[in-house]
Amino acid sequence: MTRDERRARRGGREALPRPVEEHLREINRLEPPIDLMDEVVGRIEDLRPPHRFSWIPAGVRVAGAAAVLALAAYGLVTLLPSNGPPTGEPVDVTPTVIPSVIQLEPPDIASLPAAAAVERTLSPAEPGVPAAFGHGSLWLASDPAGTLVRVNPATGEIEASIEISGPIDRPYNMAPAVDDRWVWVSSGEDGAIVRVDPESNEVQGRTEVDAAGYQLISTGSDVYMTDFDRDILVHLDAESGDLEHRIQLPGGPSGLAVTDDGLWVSLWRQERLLLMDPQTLQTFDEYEIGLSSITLTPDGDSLWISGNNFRALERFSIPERRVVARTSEMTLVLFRGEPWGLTFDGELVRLDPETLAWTAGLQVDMRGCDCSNLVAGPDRLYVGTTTDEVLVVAP
Amino acid sequence: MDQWVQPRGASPGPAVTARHARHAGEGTEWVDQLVEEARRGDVRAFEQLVKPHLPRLYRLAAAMVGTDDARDVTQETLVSAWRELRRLQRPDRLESWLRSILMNRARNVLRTRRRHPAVRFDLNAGHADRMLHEPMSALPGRWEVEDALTKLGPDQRAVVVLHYFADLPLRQVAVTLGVREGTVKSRLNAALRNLRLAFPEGST
Repeated sequence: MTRDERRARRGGREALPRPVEEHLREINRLEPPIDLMDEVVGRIEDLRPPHRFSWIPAGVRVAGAAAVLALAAYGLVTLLPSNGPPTGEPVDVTPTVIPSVIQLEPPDIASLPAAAAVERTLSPAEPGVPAAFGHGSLWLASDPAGTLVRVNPATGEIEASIEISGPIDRPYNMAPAVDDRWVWVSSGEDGAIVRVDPESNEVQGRTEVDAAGYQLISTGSDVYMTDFDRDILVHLDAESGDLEHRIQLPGGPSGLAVTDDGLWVSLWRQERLLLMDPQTLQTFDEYEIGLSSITLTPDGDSLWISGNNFRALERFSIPERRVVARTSEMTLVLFRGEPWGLTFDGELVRLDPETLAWTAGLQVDMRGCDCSNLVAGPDRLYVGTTTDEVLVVAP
Repeated sequence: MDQWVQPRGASPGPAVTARHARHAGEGTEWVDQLVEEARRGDVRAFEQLVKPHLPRLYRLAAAMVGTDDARDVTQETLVSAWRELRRLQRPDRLESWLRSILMNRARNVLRTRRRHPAVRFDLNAGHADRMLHEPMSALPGRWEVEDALTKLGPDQRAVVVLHYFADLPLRQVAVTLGVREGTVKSRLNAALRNLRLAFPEGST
């Protein structure tokens, strides 16, 4: 059948391959789950408008109210004249505060102070997803093409186009990480970690690790990479590029972060956080986080845990070893030491680092927003759009 | 499966009342009124407003992200619509507006999902129960088509789904996605080329 015949058969449209057509036809017979609308209504009814004490964690509010009532009752009993015998020692009414997670209802972004303004739009000649900032440049990953693109952050001009691998059919594999010396990239084609010299924009080394990168981080002395599909954690010596460890880590290793306490790895399928020895990869401890985490971001005493599939963004207190605050799902970066997030709805917001309250915001055009691509530079934020442009945002 | 999937042709649930029946017959004025009531915080008005669109939205979500995530995408779309209702400028174009929100969310799910689809094969990882409740989990050849659609990437998949599944003309696909019509055409051509490579004629 010729193209014209196929087109004619579909009334002017070229026909889809038959298995795809049949698949879509099957989908068209589906009915939504019977409880879906009830779930939506329940979710909406849970959305309470912020009120005067909404910033106080719910557990603290309850305990506080109980303490006030108890004190009032105690005062009433002790102040009123009594004909009975003395009641003895006053009862200890100190409230017990149960640790709770701060979770505030996100406000209407229009009610917030303006967080930033879109300063300009970059249209790099080569498409790519903003993935990192370093060595004075914005680095775009073109995963399917296997190309790392270095862009002038002021003009959008291409400074270098660096071939990492041949074209690959997996959409996300490069996971670039920048340290003071190198740019590290995963090559999905040959399962290597590639070291790029930002001075010459040339590949300076490849380490075969038989893994494809999900998240890749460098501390300057050590490089770590997770392979989500194959449950692998890789550790390289950044100085020599030598492979130090390659271990199986069941559970879908995804997010990575290094703090003074050690190496943190989140397990996507098991909703757990592992704390490991950064040199031996022995597991010290593990914590339930109740969140399918995809990335971890260290920030002083905190770890920011980004989930996906409509979960949440959480702040994990390292000293307390627990999640202490939570807000809507968003991608997170640290900009000038402050947490900034971008939601699925294109809301760019500045967060209070303690409560995760939204303190300022900017509505980015929803349809042009790719919310998984927010990069922080030294003085600007960069937002990738679905049309391969980059919004330069001045906070 | 039965407890999750409403039989085709089943009568609407109790929340769809006589008001909704009027909604269907009285044109845009009634929709305007429901929008106003919903904007004032009436959740039931919102329910009546969006419930007629629910099946199409759910199917569109399933076509975009697969049935495993369709429920979440639809739910998040409607919660988002509730929060953003004040941005709806043309109540008579409610479905287009909901569709735009859903497509944006679906594409973001595809982007952030990254290589997570591999999870679906891991029956020992706690996902087996969920799979059994998904209506299309047993459909022969589903994974092959899903894989081919996944490899298209979010943008190419979106134009295929909107044009072939939602039956929108290319111009409306462009409006829904916020891109130029020429961009839609080139994405569609690339998508069709890729799908034909995945499923050569005569191979199935």
